[in-house]
Amino acid sequence: MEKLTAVRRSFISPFVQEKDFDFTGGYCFEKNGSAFLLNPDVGSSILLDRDHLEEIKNKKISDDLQFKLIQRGFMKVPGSPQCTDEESILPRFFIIDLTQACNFRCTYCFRHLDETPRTISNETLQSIIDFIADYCKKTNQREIHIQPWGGEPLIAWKKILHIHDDLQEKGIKAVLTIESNAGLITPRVAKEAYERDIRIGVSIDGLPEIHNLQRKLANGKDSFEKMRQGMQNLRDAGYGTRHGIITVLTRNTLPYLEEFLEYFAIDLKIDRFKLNIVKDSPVMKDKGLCLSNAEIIDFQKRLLKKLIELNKRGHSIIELNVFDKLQNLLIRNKGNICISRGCLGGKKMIAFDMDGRIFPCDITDYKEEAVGSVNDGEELIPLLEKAHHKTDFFAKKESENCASCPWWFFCKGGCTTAIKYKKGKVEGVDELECLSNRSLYPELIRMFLEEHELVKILTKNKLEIA
Amino acid sequence: MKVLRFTKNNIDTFYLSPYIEYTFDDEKLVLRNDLFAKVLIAPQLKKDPEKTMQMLKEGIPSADAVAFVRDNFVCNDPQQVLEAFLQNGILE
Repeated sequence: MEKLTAVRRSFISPFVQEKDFDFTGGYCFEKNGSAFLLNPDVGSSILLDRDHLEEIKNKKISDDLQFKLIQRGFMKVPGSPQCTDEESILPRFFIIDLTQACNFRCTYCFRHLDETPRTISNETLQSIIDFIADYCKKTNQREIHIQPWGGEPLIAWKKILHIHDDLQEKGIKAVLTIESNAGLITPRVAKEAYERDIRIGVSIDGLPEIHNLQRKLANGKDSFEKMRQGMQNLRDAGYGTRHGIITVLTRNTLPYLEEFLEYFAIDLKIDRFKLNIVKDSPVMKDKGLCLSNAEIIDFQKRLLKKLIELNKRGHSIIELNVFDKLQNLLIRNKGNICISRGCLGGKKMIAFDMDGRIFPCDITDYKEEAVGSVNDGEELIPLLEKAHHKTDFFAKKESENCASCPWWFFCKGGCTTAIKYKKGKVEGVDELECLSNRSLYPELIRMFLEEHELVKILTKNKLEIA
Repeated sequence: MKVLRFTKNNIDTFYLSPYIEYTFDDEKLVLRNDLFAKVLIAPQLKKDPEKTMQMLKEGIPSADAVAFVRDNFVCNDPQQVLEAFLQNGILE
């Protein structure tokens, strides 16, 4: 009977228990005798039983609980450590825009592709590699992440290999991550990628018919078989099913959500994927692909329901946004530089365009957002510090609802680049991310308060509520 | 990682905080608390480092905490070491 009741949500206001013993306040979600408290300012949380929640509500907190609350950032006493939500400027993720060329013509592509697409010159690429290597040495970073970007990055495959091999020669381990349409993944490319431990994510938009509708080849022909062959080449080269999958959800694909998740889990034997809702941009050819607010809310519920159902039927499959957001809630994840602590563009991530300009994110089509260049002779961190005071990209993004939003710490106004692509300027918040958070986070909390075992399933054993 | 739900059965047990990242640099145990931006270098470990960390994750009854520190770390004053762990948010 209890399962049919909704999660009770409330805000417990700050109070002083004894002199100098401050409870900082927080959102409280209750169900089935369990309570989940969330501190929206610093993203910390704690799971309690009903008795301990009552101690807080009655403002009579025992010493043992007081200690737990201090260590989780819900109480302050004289001398207790202060919580921090500041992120230092220390990029570790580098996007390199290698080419505008693409062998596909996807209906929702947001890149500003020229008639005659360019690919980066060897000289500029070398300047970027040297700049990154110099920065890593000065900041004592031995391992970094690089995302070769496009267009279709594999068009510049030899340049990708050069990035990896040259940095390795310079004593830096570069973990390369590529999102590809897989149309150019030959057995040789797959082998070379596997040998270098390059992570490849393949774009699949669901069932073959829909994929072909949204992701045409440049010559107008269907692309699904080409993608599938590329994916098979990856699997044969040694990746097995451990390559990534990226799916863009549009109004075309939404009606078939459950069908294509079945197809992923059973036919394609995919065990993890990332499902991104299509983002609006002035470049997008078909505006009808964007989801309405009601569709986004509905989608989050259906996604979670289907993932749970598939896993309960024995098909181990997770969705990576769900995975990251569960970690945000339960352990204050910092692994995702876009959705765990708001946009960390220009702090933990930067991008380079084909002329060596430096951007805070993959926003290289908007030259006014450049914060400098590898050719300026300036060092990266001072350059980014200066930019933080100068450009709109780093301004606080908020709407009137943000002040009372439980998910503020994780969202902080969402993806700055998405706002720029949609509006042409950085203004307001990323409404898509805002709505996604407002619909998904409550569903996740409801889920783990009802059936905590599901956390283990949907995080592939990374987290477990004990 | 086990995410704890605190009840009367475990509220007086010390656990490794979920906000800790730890590394073994040149055999030194370096603990970083991300919530409080605190870094602590632990005294030299007496036993298998991973085993010690696993015990902290599983929980140490608060009454046994000083003995645990004495048994697992090279130190003259285990009480002081324990207090450093608590004040820097290493244990909760």
